[in-house]
Amino acid sequence: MGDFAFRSEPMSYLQLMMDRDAAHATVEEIAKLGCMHFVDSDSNTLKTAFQRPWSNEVRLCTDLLRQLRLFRAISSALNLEIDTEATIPASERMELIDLQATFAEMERELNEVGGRQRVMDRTFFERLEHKYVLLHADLVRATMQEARPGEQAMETDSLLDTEEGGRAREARAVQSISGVIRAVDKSLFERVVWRVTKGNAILKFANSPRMLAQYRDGQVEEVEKDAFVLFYSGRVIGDKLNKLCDTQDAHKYHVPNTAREQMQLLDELNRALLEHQQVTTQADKRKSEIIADLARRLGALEERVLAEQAIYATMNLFNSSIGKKTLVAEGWVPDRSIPDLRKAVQRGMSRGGASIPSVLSSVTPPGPPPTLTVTNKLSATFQSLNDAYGTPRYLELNPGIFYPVTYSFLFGIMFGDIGHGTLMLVGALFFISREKTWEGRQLSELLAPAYDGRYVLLLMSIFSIYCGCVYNECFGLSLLPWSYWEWDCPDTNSTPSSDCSAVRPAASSPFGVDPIWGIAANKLAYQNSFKMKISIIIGVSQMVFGLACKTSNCLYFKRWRDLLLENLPEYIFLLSIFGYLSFLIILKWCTDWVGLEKRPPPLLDTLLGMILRVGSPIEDEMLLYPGQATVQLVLLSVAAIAVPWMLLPKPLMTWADNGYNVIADTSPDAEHKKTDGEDGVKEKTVEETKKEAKAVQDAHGHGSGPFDIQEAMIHQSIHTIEFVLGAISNTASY
Amino acid sequence: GILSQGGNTSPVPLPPPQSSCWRRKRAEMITFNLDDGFTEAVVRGYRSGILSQGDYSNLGQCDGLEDMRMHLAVTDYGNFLQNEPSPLQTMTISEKCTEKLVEEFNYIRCNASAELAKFLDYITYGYMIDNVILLLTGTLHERDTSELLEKCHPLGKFQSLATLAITTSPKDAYKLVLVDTPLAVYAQKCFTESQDFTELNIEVIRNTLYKAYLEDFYAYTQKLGGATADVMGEILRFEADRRAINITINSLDTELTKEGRGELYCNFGDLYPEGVMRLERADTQDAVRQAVESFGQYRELFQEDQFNRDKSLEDWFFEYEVKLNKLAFEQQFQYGVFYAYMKLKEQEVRNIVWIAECISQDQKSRINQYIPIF
Repeated sequence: MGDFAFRSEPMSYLQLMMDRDAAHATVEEIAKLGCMHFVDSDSNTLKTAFQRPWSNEVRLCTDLLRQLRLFRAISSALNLEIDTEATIPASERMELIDLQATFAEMERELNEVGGRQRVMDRTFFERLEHKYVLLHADLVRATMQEARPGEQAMETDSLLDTEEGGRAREARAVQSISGVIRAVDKSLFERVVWRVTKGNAILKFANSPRMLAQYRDGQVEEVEKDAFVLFYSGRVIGDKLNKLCDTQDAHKYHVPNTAREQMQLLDELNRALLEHQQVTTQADKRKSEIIADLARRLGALEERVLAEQAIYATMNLFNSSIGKKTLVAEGWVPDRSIPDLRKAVQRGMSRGGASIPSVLSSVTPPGPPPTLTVTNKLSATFQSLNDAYGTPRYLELNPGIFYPVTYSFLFGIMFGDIGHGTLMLVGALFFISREKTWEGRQLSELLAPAYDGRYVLLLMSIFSIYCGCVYNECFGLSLLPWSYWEWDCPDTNSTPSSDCSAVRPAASSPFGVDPIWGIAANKLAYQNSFKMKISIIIGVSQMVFGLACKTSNCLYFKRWRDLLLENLPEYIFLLSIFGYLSFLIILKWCTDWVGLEKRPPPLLDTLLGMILRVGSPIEDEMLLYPGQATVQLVLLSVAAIAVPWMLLPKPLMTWADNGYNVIADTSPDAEHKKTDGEDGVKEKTVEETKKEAKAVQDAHGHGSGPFDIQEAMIHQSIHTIEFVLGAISNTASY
Repeated sequence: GILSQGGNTSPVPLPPPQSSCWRRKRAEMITFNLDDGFTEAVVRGYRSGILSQGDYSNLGQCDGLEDMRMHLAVTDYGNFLQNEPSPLQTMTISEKCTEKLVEEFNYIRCNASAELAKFLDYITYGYMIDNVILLLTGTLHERDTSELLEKCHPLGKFQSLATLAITTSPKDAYKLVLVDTPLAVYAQKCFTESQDFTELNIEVIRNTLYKAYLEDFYAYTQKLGGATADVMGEILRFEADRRAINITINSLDTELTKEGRGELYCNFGDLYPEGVMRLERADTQDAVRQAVESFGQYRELFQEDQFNRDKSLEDWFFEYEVKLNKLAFEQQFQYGVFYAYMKLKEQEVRNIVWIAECISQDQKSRINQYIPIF
């Protein structure tokens, strides 16, 4: 039952003095328990991360983790199995230094293989592109020739057969560049080609873009590319275009003129591509050989290096300036874990082979204790809902403990439907059944919140089904057709129809609302009014319950001033207006208005009248009970008094305590650390714990710094306004 | 009253509202957050991640680049170096820092409203000009184009940037490449020669481009009005003055004529017009000093320069720039913060690189010459 404590765990601030040699083993043992919150030693405040004694080890771990990430990426690229469950037997535990040597060697080898492969891949990609160009360029050329049939004739039909004529022909002969370019750059390329050649070149695209791989910043990426052929004539333009292709990242490839040569080249390329695939498989095999052994233990290794990093990072928090051989650690420990901690320290001491025994002692804490709420699978999610509003202070009543019931029940009131609730229940049960396989896994963005909140869903669905039974609703329809009313029907059929009129209730419904309301014409009017009123009653009781939690805290910490000057007027304010409203609702329900032959007065008008028409008598048809006007006047005046009551006295009295100084220093004497005896973790009594907590709370109350009346007044008025307005707007929204 | 004037029945438009700065500011306060509240909040959040004095003193105590990596990991830079193998290079640090800045800029640019997006684009034009000049100078010296592209600032990259490598004359460069870019308006005037590129004309081109850019940017910010005009006005006026002084000093014993020099000065700035006129006529360093001495903010400039050898003129300018940019964060509801953040962050990258260089070259005594920001 310790899991369901109403208050957070009592904590102690302990100091652990140990041999330097034993520190690593001790931290590891404590880490296994996970019960100590280490606090950075005062002596370290000026030391930066890299000036701490174990920063080299931390750095080494960071580098090892980087290498492990690299290995993991390579292993998953090779589809190697990574055993997440594997553990390293104690006999095979390698020291970090050895790991570093192994990893470095492995990284070097992998880089070598990888580097060679990258070079090969590059040619591979080029050949793929070449093949693609080869297959498409010819098509493009063919279309060109069709479009301009006269060209060839013109070329062959040279008038001058002199040398000069030959040169002229050469200059005029159409030459071409073929290649590939990224599809997105096509239009830009076209534009620039036009500008460079002033229109004296023709650019044609194959217009059958394909995803082709290429290297970019050392990463392989797939880009949509298209083949092109550039026709031009003249050497100057040719040079320019060639350069242009280079700057535009257009890869040029040779395409032979005759079909036979083309086929030959294609064969060659195909052969080379096949070869490449074989070589790649071999390289992958080599890589797998290097990494396979490690890949199996990858998970375990990562865990180990992370643990080492955490251990050294923790050790960096210790005070190492006391002496050469000793280290002093300080931190918060829950009281009930102290015996375990003591054992862990012993184990660490013997494992580390310490020459000086480790000493645990309690010291004056540097600040308020942390709130530790122990949760289990079910309460963890509810607790996190609570913590989203605010974590309770040390030893305060933990409202999260009530969440499983209150939160789910309020949801049930709103959702209330057997059918929908059952669907939700099935979902929740599904998530719970997956617990074994899904726990600790990274789930998708959509699934993760549902899985994390599976117990919230479970409880909410159960309460929805219950409320659905009360409302007699299943998928929005009423479930049971019978009725507890007496009916006056023309035909004596057992089921009442629209011709019937209800006479009087024959019996009270044993559970939930009378099912007949589900098919009644005035169903909505009845149910809305009923649900609204029940919401107000439940809402007001929940608010009163919140005040009760506060009372409990005031009593626990013996803070009488808060009880009388804050909590009490809050009760008065809330109960005298909204508590009274709830009373009226119940009174109205209990009155037999038909018997009295009176129209029931609307309560909204009653409440508004109570505030707006103070002191004036209430008309007869609005009267709920005799003497109502007087009662309401008294209640309203009490509520009105309660507001300044909670606003003014508390900050003023605190001010008086501080001698009416505008700014006074209330912080106690400078903190001095004292040790309680040699091995002095004495069992604290409950009273002592409370006293400690109260001191902390008080310190919190004034912000633990100098007391400032303005600040206190602002805080108090914010609190008051928030309470009053909160109460009103909450009730209004019900 | 309107209808009765001279029997004219058509409605007479109301006179335009008096363009008092105060009124515009008030309107800004009401409506600024509609479009730009989120991005301003984001950039102010980024601002608080700028390294503090404490961070710098910690960085200064580092014994190696690995130590720097460790300390930077606890700042807002986070684990940006985590996948870099040891040993670390200064270049890597600088590249990664810039990469982070570019990421932040792009995030803001993606979330920017129309007007702010235009403002942010103006910021990138400066980087574009730098890249254009880098590519032209590099090609003149026959450097490899892909190498040059790597050196280009990522914010100033545009699609056809590489094509500049095949152009040989300013006219060519304009017609082939620049005409498609936002720089076309600025380039129109200075890329007219068909004579081949030389070192001098590239320098002149750079300065004219920059002049046109600054003048346009200045006019744009003034048109935006309100607090943006105040804040950006001050920063850009300083920028114009700094260029004017630098151009004058650098052109002191060169073949650039005084008229040519005069054409490079911006037509705004605190020095404009008298200071600029005097600068145009200056022949010696002394004359430059006399020209700017009468302007309060620049008085100490040359005095310090002469007495303190550790601090160069450039450092002084940087320091003053940091001061102005810091002030930009004192005003709300204006775009100046975006510009200021970029400039401050650039200064921070320069600082980190400086410290890293000092550490790796074992020159720890000079480490404190960085320019503190916050």
